[in-house]
Amino acid sequence: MTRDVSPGRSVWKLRMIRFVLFVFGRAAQVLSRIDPEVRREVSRWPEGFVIRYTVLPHGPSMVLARTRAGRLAYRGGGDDGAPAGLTVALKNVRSALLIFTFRVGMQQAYAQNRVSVRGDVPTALSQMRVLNRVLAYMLPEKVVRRITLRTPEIGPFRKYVSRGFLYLFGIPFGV
Amino acid sequence: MIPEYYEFENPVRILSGLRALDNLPYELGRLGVSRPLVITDPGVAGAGILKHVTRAFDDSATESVTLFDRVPPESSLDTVRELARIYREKGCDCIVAVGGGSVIDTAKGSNILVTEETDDLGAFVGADLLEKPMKPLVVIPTTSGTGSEVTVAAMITDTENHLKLPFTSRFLLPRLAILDPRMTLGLPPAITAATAMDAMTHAVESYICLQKNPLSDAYGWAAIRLIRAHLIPVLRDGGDENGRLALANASCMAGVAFSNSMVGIVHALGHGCGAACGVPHGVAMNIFLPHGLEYNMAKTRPLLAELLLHLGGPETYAATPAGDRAARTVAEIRGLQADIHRITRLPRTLKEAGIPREKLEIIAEKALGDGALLFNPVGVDYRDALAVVRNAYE
Repeated sequence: MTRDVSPGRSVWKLRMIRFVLFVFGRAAQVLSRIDPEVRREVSRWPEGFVIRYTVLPHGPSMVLARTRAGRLAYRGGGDDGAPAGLTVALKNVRSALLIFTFRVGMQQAYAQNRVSVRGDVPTALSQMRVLNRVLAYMLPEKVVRRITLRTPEIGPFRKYVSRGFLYLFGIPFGV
Repeated sequence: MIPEYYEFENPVRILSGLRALDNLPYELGRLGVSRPLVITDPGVAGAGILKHVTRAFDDSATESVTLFDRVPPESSLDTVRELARIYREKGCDCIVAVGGGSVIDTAKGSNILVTEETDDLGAFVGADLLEKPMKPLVVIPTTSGTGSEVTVAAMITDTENHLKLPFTSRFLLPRLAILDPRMTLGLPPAITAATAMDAMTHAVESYICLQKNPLSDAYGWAAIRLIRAHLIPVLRDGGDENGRLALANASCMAGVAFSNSMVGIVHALGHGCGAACGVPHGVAMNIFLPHGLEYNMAKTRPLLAELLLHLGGPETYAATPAGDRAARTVAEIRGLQADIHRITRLPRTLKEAGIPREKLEIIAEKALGDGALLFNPVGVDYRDALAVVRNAYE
């Protein structure tokens, strides 16, 4: 017996991933201004450098760009045509979901070939350190310890004040 | 332990044995090509071993052979472009690389240009930026260390802008590798030792790094056993054909292992050391290997303990208490280092390699931008890298 099978499309999973990408993008933008380590990493990237995070094959996506001032600008999920110096592509929606629900860390995802990285390798490492730092500000330490090889060192005062700022103002308003 | 998920690929056809080169024209015919561009360096040309390659074409169906023997010690952008021009002018249809890492990387770089029909190599710098199969590339290694004949990477130097341009793509994998011991018989002991320790590092790191898997493990173990059994005898008798063939196989298998499981802090520091101080890669691997293993010890103790079976042999493994095996593995590597040093004077420390102390910070800084750190089992920051470099100083 033969029959046609239509590939399904999980709208809710994609919405969830889009939301986490938005939260992460806004948080990275804010932290590139207020965290000295993130600022130091990003300042080494070439001016105008674009990183695109995307879920294959059809998105969602999120674009971060390094501004002239040496910070990150969250450019949303749209494709404005700027060529990306680095594309971090998650190979399928299930892998993306594992990563964006913090069950698998990004470095572990690289090791498990769940992620394809295209572009400049030193910047790929640098964005990984930025990503780990962003996660350390946003998530409880227990979760961060599980999904990173080494928990970034951030003083408790700086971490909790910044976390409050991120969730109250930084992420909702991008300030 | 089986990883939750892994991928493994090695599509390279491998011919191994004394006079394996004689089958080169037949293999080119199988690939549907008959106008090879053979590239090598002045060292190989001067050593008189190129004749094993050129004579293989005698009485064959190969239409024409173009030979280029001026690849510099570091693969350079200029040479890559020149080779692409020669390839087009002479109407070649495949590349045969005869040499060590530099020649093989140059061949891979030229292959990008002729396949993509461009002179702009810069557009393909980085990871996975190539999207179509390359022209057939055949690799005949003349050292036993890099494993480049089975790896997805190439490094080209932009001498004008003082930059190292890394390329990684599965399309860079050669179609054929030929391991013929006649090509490594004349290799001096110090270079034999340094390149073998590069292969040893590939095998050992492949066993502890994050992408390790059962298939890469098998290749790594086999490589370690061959190096352990044959390196010292070959250093004592360079004309040992069987030993040379074993080391060539070990290098190839270690290449397959690390191409699929990746390497870690030892390679990152080695690349940093090469970039900052020009230390040959194999020498740097020999220096950093035990220190890198000690750095990773806390997270990889059971794995390092397992390696003792292959590094030290079953008697040593059985005689060592389970809790001491990981440390004994590192001690075995130090023992091998000492044996090599007695025969070849291969440096065991950065000081012995003539590195000034003020360069240590630069080495650590450069290592932080190396892709190998993505796969190291323990996170590495600047202070960690610097501490390991300082340990390796003397």
